[in-house]
Amino acid sequence: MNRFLTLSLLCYLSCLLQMQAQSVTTEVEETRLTPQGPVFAGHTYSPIAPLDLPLIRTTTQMNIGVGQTTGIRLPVINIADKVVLAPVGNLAVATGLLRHEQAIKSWMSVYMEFVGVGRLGTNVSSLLAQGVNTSMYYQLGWKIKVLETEKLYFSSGLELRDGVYSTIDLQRWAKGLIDSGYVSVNNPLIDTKPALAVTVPIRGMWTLSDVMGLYGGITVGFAESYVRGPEPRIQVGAHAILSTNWNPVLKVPIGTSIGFAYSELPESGQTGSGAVKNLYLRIGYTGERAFSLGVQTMLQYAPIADVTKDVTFITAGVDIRFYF
Amino acid sequence: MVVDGLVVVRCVVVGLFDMRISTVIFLLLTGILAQNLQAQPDVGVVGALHSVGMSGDAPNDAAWSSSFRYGGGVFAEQAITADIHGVLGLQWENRSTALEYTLPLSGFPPRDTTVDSARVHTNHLTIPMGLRIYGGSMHWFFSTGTTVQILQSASYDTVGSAVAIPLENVLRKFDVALYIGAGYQFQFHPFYPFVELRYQQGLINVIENKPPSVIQESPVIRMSGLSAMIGLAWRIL
Repeated sequence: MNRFLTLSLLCYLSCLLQMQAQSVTTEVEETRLTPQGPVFAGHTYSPIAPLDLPLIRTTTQMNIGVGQTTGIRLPVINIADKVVLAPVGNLAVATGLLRHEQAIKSWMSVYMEFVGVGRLGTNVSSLLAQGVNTSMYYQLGWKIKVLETEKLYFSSGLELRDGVYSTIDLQRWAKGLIDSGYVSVNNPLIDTKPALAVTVPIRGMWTLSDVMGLYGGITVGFAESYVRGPEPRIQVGAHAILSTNWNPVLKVPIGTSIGFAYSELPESGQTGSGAVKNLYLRIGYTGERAFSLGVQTMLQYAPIADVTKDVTFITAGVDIRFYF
Repeated sequence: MVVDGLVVVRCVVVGLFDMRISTVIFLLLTGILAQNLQAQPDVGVVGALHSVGMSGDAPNDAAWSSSFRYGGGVFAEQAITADIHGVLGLQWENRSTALEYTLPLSGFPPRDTTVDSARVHTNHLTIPMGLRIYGGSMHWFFSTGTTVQILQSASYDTVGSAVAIPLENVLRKFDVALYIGAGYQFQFHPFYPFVELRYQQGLINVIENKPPSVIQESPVIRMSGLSAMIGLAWRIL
């Protein structure tokens, strides 16, 4: 099954490349690209991280964000048949992203990004109930332009994500310690699991005017779980963003974006299974093509293990991109 | 390349019926080689110094660390357009990965130390298939593609022991990796020496059967790493 999926993905990428190869003239293409920024059909987009624009650009991006939950009630903790804690607390989350995309041709780029995500309880109760989760991974991506018209732009490609998901599950560790009476290698405090995912994104953008544009995409991938045991499974995701640049009408170089993203999660012992729903708002500077600076907030509805309702996270972050 | 596309599609369809992977690879190579022979490609030799090895799960307090090893082989290159070339190769590669343990603080000033406790040695026959996309001057190029890796032999030995324990029944015979790289080609017609730096990431968990007890249950280990390559192409026409 793995071999068949691998061959299918390679076949898909090969077909995309051959489509482009046939459309390229036999003359050697000029490869020196001028900085174009996040601009298409006259509209300067305010791209929300980590939802990538379909454009082929050479760009370096840095993004950091912090946030926390809003007053969740965590499940009762029972150890040795006794209620130890009925915790009320919050979970904090921190994210960091470093990314470089290199345009190889006007129709193709490759990118590499490093991402770190950490989540932990903000007090003893929530720390004991939910432990600490970290996810460190890198992602390799190939982006190929599929269609460009006066107002529309579509690209696709392939993404390969490889990383390590680590969990410190204090509750499970304490139970294991009490049950066995000693520290055992079969009950580690820190559990790590490598996880790989291969994804095919299809992204598109539609410039309505120099003030307004839409972009979005869908992704279909095949991802390994964050815990041992479950088989890899197919995951889907989708996002849509409305981007507005106020400079043409108000003569103020400010752009705003609002967006929504839906993303299925790999199976995990701590985050539970299901999907994450994100709402984004970004306010950014649009006066320069060479760089893009913005602050963004995100409202995230995410499943958490042993919590029946989706938990709401609120995060805020800074996003900086340089275009070359 | 239309022929290649048809062959790839056929391979996928055949794969549905669970045909042996070696048959699929054979069909793929036959299709590409047949087209190259007709079109008079560049041919050449390549040597590599690489640090490709195991990564992923390791025993507690230990980590995998790839050692520099070597490889080499032949390749054929065919222009698809003026600046996009298809490349097909056949290489032999020797790989070595050490299992490093971290010892707790010792000495003065106290510090952690790492020691190699065991080494896994593998030999692979690799078939890189991909594209080179050249810049305007036809010197710099970007390369990407896939590498099929066929395990030829595998063993491990513990440091200080001369006994090599076979691992062929633990590791998968076939593996597939994606690679990206960049290089520079000199032009001394009809010879074209080049250098290239390439990173590859394995897609398949190479552990097939339960490994020795030093590794935890259900381990996930993949082959990945960097290769520095030097080669010489000869333009036939």
